[in-house]
Amino acid sequence: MSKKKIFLTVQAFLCVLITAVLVIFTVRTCMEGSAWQAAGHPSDWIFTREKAGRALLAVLPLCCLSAFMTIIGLVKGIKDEDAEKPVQHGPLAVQAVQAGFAKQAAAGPEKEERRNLLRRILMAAAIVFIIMGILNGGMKDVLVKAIRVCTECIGLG
Amino acid sequence: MGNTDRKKNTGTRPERLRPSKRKLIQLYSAFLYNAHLKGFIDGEIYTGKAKAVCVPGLNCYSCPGAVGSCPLGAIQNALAYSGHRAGWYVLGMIMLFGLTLGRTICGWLCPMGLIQELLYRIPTPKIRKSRVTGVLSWLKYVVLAVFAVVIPLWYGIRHDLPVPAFCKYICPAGTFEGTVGLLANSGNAGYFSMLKILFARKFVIMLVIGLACIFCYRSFCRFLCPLGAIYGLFNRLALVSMKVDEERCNSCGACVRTCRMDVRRVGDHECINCAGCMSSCSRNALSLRAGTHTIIAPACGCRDGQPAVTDTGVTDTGVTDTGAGKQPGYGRISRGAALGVLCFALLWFNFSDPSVRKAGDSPAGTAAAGTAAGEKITGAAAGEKTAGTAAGDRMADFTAELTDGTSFRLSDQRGKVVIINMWATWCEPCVKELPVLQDFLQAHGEDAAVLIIHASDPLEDVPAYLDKIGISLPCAIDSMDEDLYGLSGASPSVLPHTVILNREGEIVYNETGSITKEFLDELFEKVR
Repeated sequence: MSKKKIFLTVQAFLCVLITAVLVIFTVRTCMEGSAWQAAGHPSDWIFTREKAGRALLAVLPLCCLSAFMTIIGLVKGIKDEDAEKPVQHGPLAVQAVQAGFAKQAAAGPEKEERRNLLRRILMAAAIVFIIMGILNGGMKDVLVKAIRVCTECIGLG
Repeated sequence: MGNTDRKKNTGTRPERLRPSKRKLIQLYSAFLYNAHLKGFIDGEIYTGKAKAVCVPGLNCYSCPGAVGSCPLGAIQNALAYSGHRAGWYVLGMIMLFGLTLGRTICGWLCPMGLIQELLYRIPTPKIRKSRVTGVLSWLKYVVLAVFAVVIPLWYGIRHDLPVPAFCKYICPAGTFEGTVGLLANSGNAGYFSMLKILFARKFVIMLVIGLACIFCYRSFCRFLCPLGAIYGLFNRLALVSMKVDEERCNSCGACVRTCRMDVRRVGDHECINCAGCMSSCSRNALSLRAGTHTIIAPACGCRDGQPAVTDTGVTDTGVTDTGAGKQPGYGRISRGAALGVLCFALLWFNFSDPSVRKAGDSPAGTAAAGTAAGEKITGAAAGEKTAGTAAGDRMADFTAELTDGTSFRLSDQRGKVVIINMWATWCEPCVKELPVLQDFLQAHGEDAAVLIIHASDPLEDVPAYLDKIGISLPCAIDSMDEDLYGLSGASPSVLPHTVILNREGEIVYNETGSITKEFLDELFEKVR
């Protein structure tokens, strides 16, 4: 295995490890906290700043190492070269691509004109919808719901 | 990743590290969408009128910096509310964005796209596109149909409950920008009290999506994003899109094979118009155009029907972003204008916007509560200016005019446990906890009092709504100055919020988030 591959593999392992640690912390804290609440302590908090701080502290060395490796990788230009190469589709897929282009070419200027007309009609409709929305109070709905955020709607709880 | 990105990656070290123009535009739009930088410092979201306008990209409006609404959140809320009012406005906005820019928004103007591309730059082995990813790319249409359309519509029409399911259960932008953005501020330490399984699930989803983006290019955008799915439907019609010069194209398919998205041909519903394919086209047949105007032309400078260049193999010269033959200084003028707009946005949204509602400016909690609060609050005792909002403090006295014409005076409730709940009809957890409060009041009628305060700007007839859902709790509607919300020191921009006072009128609980029956019973036992 070349040095580059080892570097990329270690970095991948670090990323997975950091994610795994955070996922395990989140799931474990949630399960333990929920069980504690169910056991007659409904006013106790499941997550606290201290617990979150501890979890972040645990992954901090890994994050620093990963960030350091990322900087090294970017400066040295270490990357998965295969990701840059064109995908070798199967013959069927290449045919599909070529058929797609052929279809596009065959469509000709008439289809383009039809498309332009449809776009203009839909744009006019969009503007009419916006005016209708402003008049029926839909714009105010958007404003009110965006400045009075419901905690569950953003996943806070 | 744009072709200019690829060019830099193969260049010398400083060139490789220099951000491409597309990256700069992505960064610029992310800044512009989140120009309320003050919000990150004080932990409050922006509450100005600019939020009535949707931004084109996926940017959570609960992010402390967000100055516009997320179109995806807005369309879900509009669908959930369609039993009351048709969401023409949001539909029109999304159609307009789709028809003008299509998925160019995903490639150039979406902060989530930028985050995903930055994660992808972490050097690890990468998963290339394949038939599997091609199949997975259809998943976002399922997510769009189920989470962004069917569930909000079902709950909205059938149960009159607003459930923006994608925002609530999946959206990593909401978790990262909104939830984590708010929690990161030390002033919002109380928000930790409401973190439960819903947060845990969404946080894990965000971590997994983030990890996927490191290994697989734009995983969220390709497989899950409903906004990308919507814009994809408009992509073939969009004014700004990749165009193939059919006279030059030899159908080699190099553009499709080098593209990291799951495109089947240039400009289809998966194409984010990043112009990355242009460097792979040996025939210079590709360009990014807005109607007949070329935005990005091939490097050869052949434009608008001029003769094609000979086959020179895959070019590494990239493209000129302004196209050949542009007026000199055009780029400088546009850069200057963009910078000017950003500076204006930063100044306006952070310091000058008169439409921003400042909760701290509310007269509530001060000696002036009774005189300056307007018609909803009267008669606050002048001597209670030291009243606070923290646990152990005494809450300032107030009189609230109820929707049934009677009034609720706090000092009249001494000797009872008082629950003051801030809610709104469009807030699902708020609506769900009303029966809990009603049951509590019925169970402890003599020993307890409950007041529910609806946020200002009600979108419908609140008494009629309460009748409809069978709630008969005393209800007041806050004034435009947020006087009643200000009494608790609660941020009027995050709901629900509950204040519980003991028999002496001292605050024993003052937190944002949902409450349960078990929690109320336990607290009641403690304070009785």
